[in-house]
Amino acid sequence: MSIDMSQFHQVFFDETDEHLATMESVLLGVDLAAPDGEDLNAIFRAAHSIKGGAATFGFADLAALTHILENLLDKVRKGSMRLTADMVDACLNAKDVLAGMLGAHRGGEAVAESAISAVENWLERLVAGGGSAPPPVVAPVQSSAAPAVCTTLYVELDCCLPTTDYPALLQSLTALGELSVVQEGGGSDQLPWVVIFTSTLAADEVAESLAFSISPEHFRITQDHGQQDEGDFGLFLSSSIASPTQTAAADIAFEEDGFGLFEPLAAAVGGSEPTADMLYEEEGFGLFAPVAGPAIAPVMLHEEEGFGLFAPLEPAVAVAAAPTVAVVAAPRQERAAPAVENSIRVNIDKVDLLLNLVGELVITQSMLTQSSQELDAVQYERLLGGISALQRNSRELQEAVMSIRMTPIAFVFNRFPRVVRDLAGKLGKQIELKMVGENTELDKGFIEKLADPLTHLVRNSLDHGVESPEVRVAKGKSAVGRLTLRAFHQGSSIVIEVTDDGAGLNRERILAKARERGMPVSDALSDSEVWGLIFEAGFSTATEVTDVSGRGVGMDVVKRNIQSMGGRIDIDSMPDFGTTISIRLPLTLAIMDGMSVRVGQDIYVIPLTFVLESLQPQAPELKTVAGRGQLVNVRGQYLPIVSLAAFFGHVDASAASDPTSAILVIVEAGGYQLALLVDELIGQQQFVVKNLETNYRKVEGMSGATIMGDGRVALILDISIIARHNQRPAQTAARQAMTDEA
Amino acid sequence: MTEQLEYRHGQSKAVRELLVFTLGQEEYGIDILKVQEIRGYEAVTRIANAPAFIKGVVNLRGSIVPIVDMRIKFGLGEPVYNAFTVVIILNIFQRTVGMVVDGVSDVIQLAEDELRDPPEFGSVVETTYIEGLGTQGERMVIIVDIERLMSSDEMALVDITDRG
Repeated sequence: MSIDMSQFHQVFFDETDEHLATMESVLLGVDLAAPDGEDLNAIFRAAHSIKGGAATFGFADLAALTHILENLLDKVRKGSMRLTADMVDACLNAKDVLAGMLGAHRGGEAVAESAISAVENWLERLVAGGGSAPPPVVAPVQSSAAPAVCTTLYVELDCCLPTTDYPALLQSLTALGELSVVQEGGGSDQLPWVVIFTSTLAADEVAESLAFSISPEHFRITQDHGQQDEGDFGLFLSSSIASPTQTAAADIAFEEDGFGLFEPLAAAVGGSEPTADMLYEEEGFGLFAPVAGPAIAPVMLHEEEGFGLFAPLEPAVAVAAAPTVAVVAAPRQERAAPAVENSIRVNIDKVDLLLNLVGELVITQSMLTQSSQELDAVQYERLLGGISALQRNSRELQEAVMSIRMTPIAFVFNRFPRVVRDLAGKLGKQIELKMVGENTELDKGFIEKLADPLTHLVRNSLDHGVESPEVRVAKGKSAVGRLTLRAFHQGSSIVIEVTDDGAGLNRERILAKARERGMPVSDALSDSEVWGLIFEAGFSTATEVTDVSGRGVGMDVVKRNIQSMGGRIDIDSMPDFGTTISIRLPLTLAIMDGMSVRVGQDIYVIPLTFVLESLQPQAPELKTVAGRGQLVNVRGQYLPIVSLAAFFGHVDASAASDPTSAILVIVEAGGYQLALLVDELIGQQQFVVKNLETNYRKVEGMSGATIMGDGRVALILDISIIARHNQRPAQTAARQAMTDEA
Repeated sequence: MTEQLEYRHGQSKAVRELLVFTLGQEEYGIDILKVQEIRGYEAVTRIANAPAFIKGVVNLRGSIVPIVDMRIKFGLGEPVYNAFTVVIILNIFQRTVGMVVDGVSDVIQLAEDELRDPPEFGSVVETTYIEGLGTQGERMVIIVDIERLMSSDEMALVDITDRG
């Protein structure tokens, strides 16, 4: 009778992870004063889906906790309770416990019974206390039935008031909710304006905001009871019927293509009349006997293609047909969660293989293109046409395949609202977290490796960077500290910044600490060199070890992690103005636009993002300093010349001897410009970036390799390294030596 | 010599199959399971500031593979690159490395009793990477632990940090 359910566990685990993440992010974003109905529904649905899945797969503990959670959420959603900060805390706590339980089922450590029962009690207390919901912080609501969810109001405005700017007024309303004009006012008949306004605001709140621009006797607001919760699948009846009994019963809901057979709860006692509101939706159909009591276990919800037969409350769930194999994260027609996409899970190795094969294809294609260039364009018209079509196709194919591996950085960022919230609470600081560019995509491999370093940086910023509210106020700043996470693409790199507006790094303290540790430092070090010191092993400026930082994982580990990804980390800091730590990562296996240049017999590729211009220097423009350092005058600006031949120790380059017969490529890296001396420019094209470290080691000054059209390898220059080398060769070397020792 | 080229692994642990290559007058043997393929020498892309025995990198069907010239490394044989130069592509420690040698002579099977301990030369010759000597009649094959050799620091093929 039973199918081995364990084969579906992984799917359940993955989905539950997603649901928990959704729940957390929505909970953190929810506005306590005016919670968005769609948000509340999203949280409820997440809890509901987890409960359904948990019951299906026999995880009774998960189902039991989510059931209580769901009871609470349902009340909130239906407006019979106001959302309070305490509830959000309880829900977050429940989410953590659920995540722990899930981990335990996956083979991790079991969650302490006490933690489970604590959160259950907490939730139950909240559910019970719901009858007399504590007065909310916001202004009391006039109409007793005013729900916290979306309300649709008819607003009638008298027209032709001389001082009133109607378009502006309506415009201001659209900022608060959705507005559609039913009837335009004015004209000869002096018709009133009639608009339908949907928002989370209650009638009186709308009235209040209108009263700013138009006197109360000139408008009327009526509430429309018939049209609520469009995002709600229309399952849940008006908020006024939410008595506990009915709540539980009404929960049996079928959505979309779901269908199934339910048996009544055997354990449920009491011969009361069936109270269930049976709801059939769209293609949903089913048979069920109503539930008889309020305190009940699994309520099932089937989504999408799920179908099955369940006998709840029996440990082993009987399944006749194929159970819920929802490979896909439920796609829904909801505006609030664009992150929910139609997706499949694929083994990453397969994607990598695909990526490599496509890389090969692109190289072969460019080889063909190159060899076809000598052909007569008229005679071989069809062949050449085919090759250019192949070029286009393979390029598109490559981009498409590469995009498979790309994941929005939101996957990392999303954990931070929670981290910041918890930490700020613990440290007694007020933090406003802002995230910019969450949709910036980067390689999935990076996503996983970035989480730890970023968490560390965020924790550091909160602990050491942002001051306590009192100190901030004393300094004339706002009491609320600001922490910004920003991600953006810059050329062929992705940059992730952690910015705080805190105290900034303390130069003196870092220098003192460095001396204490016997490092050779002098006061003459530039700021950026001083900041660089905090990346040394065991270097912590925290005066005391707190719960948050100073636990042995230092910035040196962060730096090593970033470097192991081929990235770089930089610090910018100003006293009392704040600190920005930027992580710069390459896009692995990206196609890169580059300029190929010849140095002696070797071909090198300069990433185009660094290239400003190239020019052939004239003798009068070339100057020397102390007989050695060569400079070139580019429109009044003197730029240092770096001979690539000399940099790489090649002797056969003619450019090294006579710059006037060579080409200078002006590049800029890290705000610093320099002129690279090369023999010849070959051309500009796209290159498939290959990692040198796969089979070899990191080469100083090289960011990778690429395969040219003729099948030969060309090395890609790491301009930022070359620029830094040129800036301060001695110090770079010294620091290199220090890190090597460490 | 022995023309038994059929694969023997799994038959007896005592019999080892070795690929024998020559460097100057000497014959070296490496575990044949480490060998991916044998190729001719093609133009390499040299790498700045690398030791002389690292000739550079080549494109091996899309992978960037470093090429080590063992003749330079061991100071044996005159490095001449022509159509007959042999490159042994090795698959070791999850990496692919090419090794230039004078020539590949054959594949031998070595029984346990044909294996001698590595000789002691004091400090004259570095013997850390020599597993032993294979003797078949008059012939002596120096058996190299190619994996250990290629991953050693002196080969500069691997980042020191990689092995933490």
